[in-house]
Order: sequence, then C-alpha cells, then structure tokens
Amino acid sequence: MTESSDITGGVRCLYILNIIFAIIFGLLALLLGSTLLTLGSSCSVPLFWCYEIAAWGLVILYGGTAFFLRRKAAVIIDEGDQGSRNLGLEMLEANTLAVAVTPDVERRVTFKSWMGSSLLSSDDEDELDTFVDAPYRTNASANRQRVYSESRAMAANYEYDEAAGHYDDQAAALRQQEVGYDPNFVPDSVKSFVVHLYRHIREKNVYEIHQMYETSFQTLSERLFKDTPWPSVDAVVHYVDNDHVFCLLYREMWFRHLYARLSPTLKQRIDSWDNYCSLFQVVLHGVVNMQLPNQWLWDMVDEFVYQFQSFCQYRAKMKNKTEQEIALLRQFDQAWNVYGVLNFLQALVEKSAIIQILEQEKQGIEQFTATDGYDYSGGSNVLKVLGYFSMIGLLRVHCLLGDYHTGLKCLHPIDISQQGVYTSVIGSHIATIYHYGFASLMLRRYVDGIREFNKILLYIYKTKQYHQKSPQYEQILKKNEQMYALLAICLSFCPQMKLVDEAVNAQLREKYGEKMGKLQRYDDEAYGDKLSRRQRYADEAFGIYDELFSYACPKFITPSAPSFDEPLVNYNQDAYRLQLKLFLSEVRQQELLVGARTFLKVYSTISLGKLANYLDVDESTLRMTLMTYKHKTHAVDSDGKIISNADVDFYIDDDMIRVVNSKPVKRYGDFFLRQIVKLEGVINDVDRIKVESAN
Amino acid sequence: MGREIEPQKSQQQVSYTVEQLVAVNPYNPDILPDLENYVNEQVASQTYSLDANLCLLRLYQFEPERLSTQIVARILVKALMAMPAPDFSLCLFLIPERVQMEQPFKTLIVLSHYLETGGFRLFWDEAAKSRHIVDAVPGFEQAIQAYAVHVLSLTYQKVPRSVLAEAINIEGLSLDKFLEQRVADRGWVIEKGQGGGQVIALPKTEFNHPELKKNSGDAVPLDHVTRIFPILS
Repeated sequence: MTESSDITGGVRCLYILNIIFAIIFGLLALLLGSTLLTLGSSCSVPLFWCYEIAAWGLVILYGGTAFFLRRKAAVIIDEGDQGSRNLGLEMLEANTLAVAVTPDVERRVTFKSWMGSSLLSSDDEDELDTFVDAPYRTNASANRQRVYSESRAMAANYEYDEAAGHYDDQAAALRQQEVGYDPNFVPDSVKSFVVHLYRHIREKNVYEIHQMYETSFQTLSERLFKDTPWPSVDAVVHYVDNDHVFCLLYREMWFRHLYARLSPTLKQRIDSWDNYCSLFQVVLHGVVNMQLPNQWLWDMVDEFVYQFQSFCQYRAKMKNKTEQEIALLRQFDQAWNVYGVLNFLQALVEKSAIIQILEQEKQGIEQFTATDGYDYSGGSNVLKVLGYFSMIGLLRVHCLLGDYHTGLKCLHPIDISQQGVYTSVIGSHIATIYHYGFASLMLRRYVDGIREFNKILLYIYKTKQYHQKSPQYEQILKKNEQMYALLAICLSFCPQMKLVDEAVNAQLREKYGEKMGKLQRYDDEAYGDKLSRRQRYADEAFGIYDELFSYACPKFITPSAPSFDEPLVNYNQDAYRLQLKLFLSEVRQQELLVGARTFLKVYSTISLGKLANYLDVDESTLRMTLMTYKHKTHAVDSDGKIISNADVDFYIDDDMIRVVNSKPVKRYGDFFLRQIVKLEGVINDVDRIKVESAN
Repeated sequence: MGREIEPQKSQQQVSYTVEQLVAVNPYNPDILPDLENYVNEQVASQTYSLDANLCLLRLYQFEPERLSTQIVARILVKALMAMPAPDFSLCLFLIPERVQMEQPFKTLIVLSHYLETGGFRLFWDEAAKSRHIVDAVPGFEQAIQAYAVHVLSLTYQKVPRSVLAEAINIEGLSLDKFLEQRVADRGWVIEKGQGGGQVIALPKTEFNHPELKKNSGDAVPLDHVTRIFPILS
C-alpha cells in the first residue's frame, strides 16, 4: 500500500494546492475588480472585464484541475487495492488435502484486505538506522548448547536443558513479566523493520529479504530484545495491512526468538504449534505468491522439528508438572502430536512433487538445483523448497525416533554425492550429513559414514572462517565436534585411514587421538596378569565409546503421549538409554575383535592353535572370533550387496590362517590428473607473460 | 534371506495394497490392523518386507497400548532370518526397553547375539530350548543355515566337516545328503583333510580368495579423465 499511498499522497498535495490557488484567484476576481472600476480612466471598463475574465478563467482552471486530481486519486486508491489483491501474499482456497491429516489440525484460511490509506501517509523511508554489527554473544543461555566435558559424569548427565537454568513453566512466565515486557509497545525501528520486510516480500526482493532476515532481525534482537520477546503480532499487524500470511511469518520468527532466548511456557508451545499448522496449511492449500530466501525456509523446517523434539522432551518430564499443565496437556493432545508432525512433513514433500521434480531434473526437463530452488519465471519457490527441506526434516525425525532405515529412505531422492539445494544453506548441509552419517553408523555402514563425515568436516574446516559473524556459528562448531566424535567411532570399528583426508585426520588426532589409541589397545605383553589387564583395557574402551556416543548422538525422543493415570515419572531419558544400550551391545561384540586384529596385522601365516594360544582362548572360540570378524567387516550396503571394509583380511585353509598381504594402493591416476591440470595452468600463465612482455 | 516380495496369486491384491499404504500413507494409525495381517501373511507365505514391518513397529512406538507381543516376536524372527542384514537391530531400536526385557524377546536377543558372534553351537542349543518361538515361523532353519554357510564361505577356503556340521546343525546321513546336493548345485568339493577327517572346499569368491578381489584402487573414473580432454586436444 505504500506505493499507492505515495502516489495518492502526492496527488492529494497537488489537489489541495490547486484548490488554494482557485480560492485566491476567486477572491482576487471579486475584490480587486471593483478597484479597477474606480480608476475612472477611459479603458477601465474593458480592463475591468479583461481582468474579471482572466481571474475567473484561472479560478475555473485551478478548480477543474483540483477536481480531476481528486478523481484520479480515488482511482489510484481503487487500483492500488485491486493490485494488492492480485499481487500480494495471496491465498486461494483449494481442495482439501488428499493425504489424511488429523481433523483437529484443519484450519480455515481467511484473507482480510485493508482498504484506504491515511491522508499524507508518512513513509518512514529514512528511519532505518544504520545497524551496528553487534558482536555475537557467546552466552551459555543459548539453550541448544551442551557443554562437553571429558569425564564420564558428562555421559551420566544427559539432561536436556531448556535454558541455562532449569526453568519450569511458572518460572518462565514470571520471568517474562519481570523484565517488564509490554507486548503492545512497538519501537520505531521494529515498525520500520516490519514495514520494509513486508514491502520486500510483496515485491519479491529475495536479496533484501535475506539481508533483513539474517542481519537486521538479529541485530534488533541483540539490541532491543535480549531478554524479552518481540512485540506481539497484534501490535504490528496494522503496519502491514493486516496481511494474514505476513502475520504467520512474523509469529514464526517471534516464536523462534522466544525458544532461542527464553524458555517457552506450555501455552506458548501450543500456540506455536497452531501457528505452524496455519502456516503450512496456507502453503499447502493455496498459491502463495512469494519468494523467500532458502535460509528462511530451511529455518522454518529445522525449527519445526526442533520444537517438536523440545516438546517431547518437555512432556516426558512428568514429575514436576502442575495440575494446570497436566490439564492443558490433556486438553490439547493434538498439539505436537507425532502423527501431525510427520504428516505435515510428508504432505509438504508430496504436494510440492519435489521427488518428481528432482527426477525430471536428472533428465534435463526441469530446473531446480540450477536456480538454487528459486523460480525465475514469476512463480513462488516456497512450496517446492519447503518440500525439499522436509525430506531432510523427515530424516531428522526418523533418527530421533530410532528408525534409521526409513530416515535414509526419506533422504534417498537427494543425491548427497553432489551439490544441491541442501548445500546452499550451511545449516541444512550440516544437518543432512550429520544425520546421514549417524544413521549409517547405526546401520553398520561404516564406510558410508566415514566418507560423508570426511567430506563435510573438510568443508567446514575450509569455510568456517566465513561464517564467524553468522548467528549459526555456535551451532556449526557444536556439530563439527560431534561429527569428529562419530568419525572416531566409525574409524575404530572400521579402520580405513585412506578414506580420511589429511587435514581432517590431523584435526581428529588432535581431538581424539589419545582416546582412539585406547580403543584399539590390546595387551599382548606376556608378563603379569594379562587377563585382568585386558579386561581393564576393554572396560576403558567401553567407557570411551559410551562417552563419545552420548556426546554425539541426537536427542532421542519418546513420541507417545504420557499416560496421565500412572504415577508421574520423568521418562525423557528412556529413548536415549535404549539407543545407547543397543549401541553398546554392538560395541561389546566388536571388542572381541581387537585382539584378533592386533595379531593378524603382524603375521602372514599362523595356525589356529598357535593364535588361540596367544589370545588365551580355545580353538573353537577362536573360530567364532574369526567368523565374527568376517561378518562384521563385510557389511550389507544399501543395495543388499556385501562389501568388505576390512583393513586386514585373511582366509582359513583347514586350520591355517593365511593373512592377505594388501599393499596400500598408491593412487597414481588421480595424482597425474591433478598435476596435468596444474601444469596446463602454469603454461597458460607463462604464455600470457610472454605475450605481454613482447608488446 | 531375500527381500523381494513375490506376491502369491491369492494374496496379490492384499500385499500390493499394503505396500502402497506403506509408501504413500505410512503415518496413519488406521493401517495398523492391515500391517498386522501382513506380518502374519509374511510368516505364512515365507516372504519378507522390512519396510512394512518397520512401519508397524513405528506405529507401536506411537501407541504403545496397541503393541502385540506375538506380532512383534514374529517380526523379530523374520528379521533374524534376514541375516546378515542388520534388520534385527533395526527392529530392536524401535521396541521400548521394558518390552525387550520380557520373554520371548530376551531369548530372541540372546539368539541374535550368538548369530552375530558366530556362536552357532550355542545358537542351535538355545533354539532347541525355545522351539515354540522359532517353530512359529516356517523356513527359519533354512534361513539360518543359509546365513551360516554365508559366513563360512567368507571365512574359509576349506572348512572341516565338523565345523560345518556344527554351524548348520546337521549331522550324519542328513549331512551327507546335504553335501551331495551342494556338490551338485554349488560346486562344493569334498577332499581329504590333514587331520584325517573330511574337508569341504567352498566355492571361490572374492572374499575367501584374495586374488579374485577386483583391485579397484587405481581405477580412474571416466568423468575425471574428461576434465583433461580440453588440455589433451
């Protein structure tokens, strides 16, 4: 509306000016005409008539102009409204979804348009302050932090904290009140932020939207809203023509800020769920005519899954819940229901037809990755890109539930061996690879995990300096550390050093070198109490695996609603404990192999009896161990084929073990290719110099 | 061990529909009875579908009061039969801890542990003690025997008869018949071993014959070479 209010503002200006002139000349015509008559010269009468005609002519001219201007202003207002109806954040009502969505979650979408503009509406164009780049606060109150300590106490303290202090619902509400938060007070900078953001969204200026979203929002939050929420949506709604979709977007940002800086109450969690429902309904149901930056769309999906995870953790802590909270939980049992969450993500994937688009892109029919998901033909990228990111969202949710196989299946349409839209946002790139790697680890596909972790860790190593100013820097570092831990675990199960890049290897040695040494330690000394020493090493290794896993794993959730009739206990740790237990049973099985591996590296041929002697076991146990080794190192990959990932291989001939001598393969081919390209570059440079000096 | 679903003629309609359901609308509590029926079908017709079973276990996770121990036990036995694929662990990830502590799940977990660590003797002993669990699913013995042979082929070039017998739990005359059949079908060769007993030479694969292993370490993929075509020309 600001454009047409610009125009109408100017037009109204002219209109008023013309009226004033008309009045002035009218007065002149009436009053001064008589003085001319009193002059008494011979030409006073014709002079008088000339003067009168001129004056009244001008009056008519100005009056007419004013009248036409007034009509024009009204037409522009009408047209402006027509325009906003067509070009704005529009939603048409469409048929209901083909996919079953729980009925409570359906929302009717209404579109309100606000008519009319104020006289001489001021455009706060130049009130945008120059935002000072506030240094990012590395404050422990960021609730997604979990400090990693070296001791086992950390593993025992797998506690999900909402904020630095243990806030429960009442304390959170109290705190918000204490800081003097007035939801209706809108500072000027917020007002101009909102107005400009709305305008940019209307005009589809993706770059400006991105700037405002990334930088301005963060800076304003730092400066004005460190401990309080942003102004409520009702306070800002009239600056943006009561636009429904913008309100949903604003509320999404509002809740995200709340979750990041403060501790949400139960009511707020439920409201956030409602907001997401409405927002996704709008996107799914209609033609949302806007282009948003990928960063924002990824953050929406990421935050959606995060709030779901947070809610499940919150709900599982039943011990200290008040009567009020339990009543609310019972009443709003559809909020953050696992079916709702999964079905929304699935619906986004299906409605956007993103899988077909990716398929067609491989055949060259569609353009998606090439344009980074943006639509250059005037359409909207929101549904497509949300569908794309929802695949990653589904992977994440399935990992949280412990269903790794289905998670990887959901990710399958995205080819992670290549660049794609998922690499356009660093947050999504890291989240994808982290969960892919973790799922591969749990599926025992260690080679896949190592390969992907290696790639992403190298990428982060090279590019992390460019993200230092970004608000996600802390998250990036945290995930980096976690992935190193997971890489350490994978490499201990499947020593394949040639898959790991030099830089990554160096970092890994620095962080976990000592621990990894302990994991592979096997005592083959002949002195003293071998068995108890070996047991001690085994226990130590066991402890280290426990610690690494607990540090690096996602925050698993129990998706089912609590039964309110049983005595109230905290069961938020149950899911994590189960996954840890199953992981550790795998560790126990792998630990049997440490001894065999140590000896096989040394010998080229050894009889079963002798090896059994060295390992202090009997022959049949040794046969079992060797078969276990073979079984564990020959994993079943995603296509069902068996591939070997053993670093040391052997075969048994009756009762002789023959170890395979595998020399490390020097990759000459790659080396030569690189050098050829480099040499060509050097020759081109030299040629250029010669040409220049010849001139 | 196969994962392919070969819909039987009489059940073609039903299994097709269930697979569709799992692919299109898996997060829907109403399909739970269909999935349960499908598990029984898999047991009866000796087919197997990991996706459908995981979907069902997920639904049980969302609504624990509808969990049926009998169905879950059958799923787990089916998963055991799918070894060496890690399906059993995948299913365990979705079953709550307190359920896993009851019978028959404790026994099944123990059985799985024996299979994972090559303890075939212990496995068959334990299975004999729990006939009621494993007999409920036809084809169990054959599947485990196939897995045992698979692990032996990975490990041995020549395996002593006693070790083979222990692994597949067949002795005496039936073992002879089994060996005969394998000699005819799969190219096994029975030789004289050093200790005096029989030794069976298993077919040569890349896993027990390292010289057969395709050395792909130095292969240069075509798209890398295309990078230097402009330079070469």
